Amino acid sequence: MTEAAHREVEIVALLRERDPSTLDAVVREHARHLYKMSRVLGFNDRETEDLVQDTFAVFLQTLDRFEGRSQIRTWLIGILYRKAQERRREQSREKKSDPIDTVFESHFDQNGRWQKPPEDLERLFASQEIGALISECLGDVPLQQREAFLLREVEGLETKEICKILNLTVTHFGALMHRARNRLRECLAAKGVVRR
Amino acid sequence: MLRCREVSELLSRDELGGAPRWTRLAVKVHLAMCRHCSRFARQLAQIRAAAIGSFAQNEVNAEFESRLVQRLQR
Repeated sequence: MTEAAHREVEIVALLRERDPSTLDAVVREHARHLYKMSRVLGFNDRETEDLVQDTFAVFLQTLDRFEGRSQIRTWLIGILYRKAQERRREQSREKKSDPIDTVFESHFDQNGRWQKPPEDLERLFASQEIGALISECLGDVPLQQREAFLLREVEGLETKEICKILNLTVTHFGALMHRARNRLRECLAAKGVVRR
Repeated sequence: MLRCREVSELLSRDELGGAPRWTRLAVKVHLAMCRHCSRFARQLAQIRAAAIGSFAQNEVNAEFESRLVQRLQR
């Protein structure tokens, strides 16, 4: 076990004893991050406070199952995502076809070569507004694609972990990533072209 | 020979890590020769960096953590 994993096992032991300063430290280390995740997943501030509180409550109830195999952060994120899914009754399922697939295909000719190559977006990516633009574009990405994208790109989790959290096959995860990234690219390209 | 369409789909599906070694090599060679695909690849990396940056900038209510600790200790 690595030193960091050892430290996390110790933290969990202190939490089991309900040590107040450890609880405070764990909340301060992870709560903001979970809060931001929840906001990006589309929950408002009020829903987010509830969701993060629920996440920590479940975490504290399930400490006995924490064996140091995953990190506390990953464990908390797993709970947050499951709680988020429970809250979304009408969670839209990923469709077999998605309009972004046709958009992606339209970039290539019959021989699989670019007929509409990617636009030059260097200036857009270097601009001050890129953060605001990407967050705007991310808002239009369907939820499941957004979830997969965030876990991979912002959290940097392994495919195996993401598939476990979102209950996906590797193929399904690939489709979600492909669609999310191409949607974001098209959205930014449209904004970049308008700016020129 | 891998075509542009296959290369860009392998990249955007994030499947390169699990692909056979010869596929990874073929993609590398293709990217070295094809400016459109290498631009596509660069944009995927730029999108990741922008998403991380924008995520870090999001504001969180200052008293939120204290409220949460209080409620959890009840």
